[in-house]
Amino acid sequence: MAFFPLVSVLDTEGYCTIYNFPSNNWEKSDKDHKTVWALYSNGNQWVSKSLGLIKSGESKTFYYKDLDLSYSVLCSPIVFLQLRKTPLPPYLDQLPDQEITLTKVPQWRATVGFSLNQAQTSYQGEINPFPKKASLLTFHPFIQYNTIKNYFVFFNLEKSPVFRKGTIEIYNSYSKKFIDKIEVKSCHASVIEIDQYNFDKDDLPVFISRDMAGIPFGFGIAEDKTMLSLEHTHPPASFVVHGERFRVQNEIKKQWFSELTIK
Amino acid sequence: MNQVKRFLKKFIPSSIIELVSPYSIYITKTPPRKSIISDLFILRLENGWETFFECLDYNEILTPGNSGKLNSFDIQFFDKDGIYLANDKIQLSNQIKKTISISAIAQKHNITKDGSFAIFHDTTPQWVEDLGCNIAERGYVGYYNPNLGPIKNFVHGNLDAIALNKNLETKLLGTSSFFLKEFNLQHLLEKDFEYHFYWLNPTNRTQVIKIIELINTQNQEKLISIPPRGVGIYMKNNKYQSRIIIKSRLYLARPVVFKHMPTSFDVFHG
Repeated sequence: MAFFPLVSVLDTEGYCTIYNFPSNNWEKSDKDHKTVWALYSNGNQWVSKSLGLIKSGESKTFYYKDLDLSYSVLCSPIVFLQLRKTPLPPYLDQLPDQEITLTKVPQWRATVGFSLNQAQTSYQGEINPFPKKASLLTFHPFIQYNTIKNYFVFFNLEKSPVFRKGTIEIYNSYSKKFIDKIEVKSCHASVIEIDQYNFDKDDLPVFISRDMAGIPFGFGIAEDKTMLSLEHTHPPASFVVHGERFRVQNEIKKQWFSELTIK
Repeated sequence: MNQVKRFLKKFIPSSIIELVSPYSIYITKTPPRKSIISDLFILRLENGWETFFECLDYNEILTPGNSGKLNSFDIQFFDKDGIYLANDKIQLSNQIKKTISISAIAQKHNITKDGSFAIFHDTTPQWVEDLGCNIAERGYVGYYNPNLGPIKNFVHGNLDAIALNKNLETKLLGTSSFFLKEFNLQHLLEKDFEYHFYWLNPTNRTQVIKIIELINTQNQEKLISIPPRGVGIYMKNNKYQSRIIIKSRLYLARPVVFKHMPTSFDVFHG
């Protein structure tokens, strides 16, 4: 059920390049012409809009500003793009299922990017809906100093279009000291300014949410706005491979969630 | 079912499994228990590039508040041909994260050319081992070039490429096929930008990759041979919008892409 996120955050212009060709030639995939559909929530329903056809083998870039959505610099509704062969009704109560076969090695992805002046930063990605009962634990090692502004960006997607509030708690992972808690919104990109917390260079902030999952990113903007920096952080399961790694992830989360408390 | 899959993965080469079930391949092998795993990370030193790594204390992250052990790391350097060059030790003391200049450590060992490096943690917590897991470093590399922008850009590792066993021998974990495969880079190469593509070979065989560049209706092709643990590099000043296909026996011939813009650069996994 892959979607491709399109969103602007802070002063940047968000873009998303969708590819109508698979990531490899040896897995099964749909090779027909496809239509790109944009889906975003109005808080009650998913609103759908056709963005036009992409021929097989071609690609097309879409810009957030063209969707004409209102947003604030620290919280923007994400537009979720989907490749489809059949049309969608203008309003939906649930996200539509994926109807085309996508490659998996690697995942069929889009270029999800942000631009500011002449600078661009991007990642190759996709997003799948997170269950409501899910949580987040991630460590953020990307803070840079001197001439950069540092942000934590959190993307969420849930099947339901009804906006739900969640909380991200921030701690110092070494001292386990509580730093702050910030409200985030489902189906939005939420931005947290990190520099206000004055983390030292050997500090490793840890971000947890006990009531919402999502994709966390470190985002940096050079003070002179000539360069951007973006990378997502790994989930705890990435620290190990083989064996029962998802039990390891559950155990790490359990330990950190009990270790970190708002005092 | 999972046990059957694990058995097959451990004892039957992916290329053989592919003959029976083409979609059941795996892109990395299972190392012996107690092996420590790392991705192979790209080392950029030439033309003003500097490479950094964010070392995290896995002892503390995996067992918060109870680790009682200081984490140390073994860094191993390889050249473009995959030849081992040097190793060094990093110790974390009373810190959970340390940004290390891989460039400075390389310089200490008179390494001045691009290549690769791996980072092996010193221990695996017992409870992680009991769940049959191997510690894996697939963390974050920061690249900086003062000629191309004022800040670092990061890219994460994502492959269990190389294992260090209990006898301190390294073993490559990547698999390859009997058949040629095409990897379509799902990224549009824009006109007037410069792109640098870096491939690492995590397999025990020299891999020849054919880069097919699709420009309008014309194709341009280039062959690169990459020895085990080696690095393949393709640099391109793009005059026309294009995209590339990589043909090789690798299941996942995914490059790390550096895109140069007028005042900055971007880096990402293809």
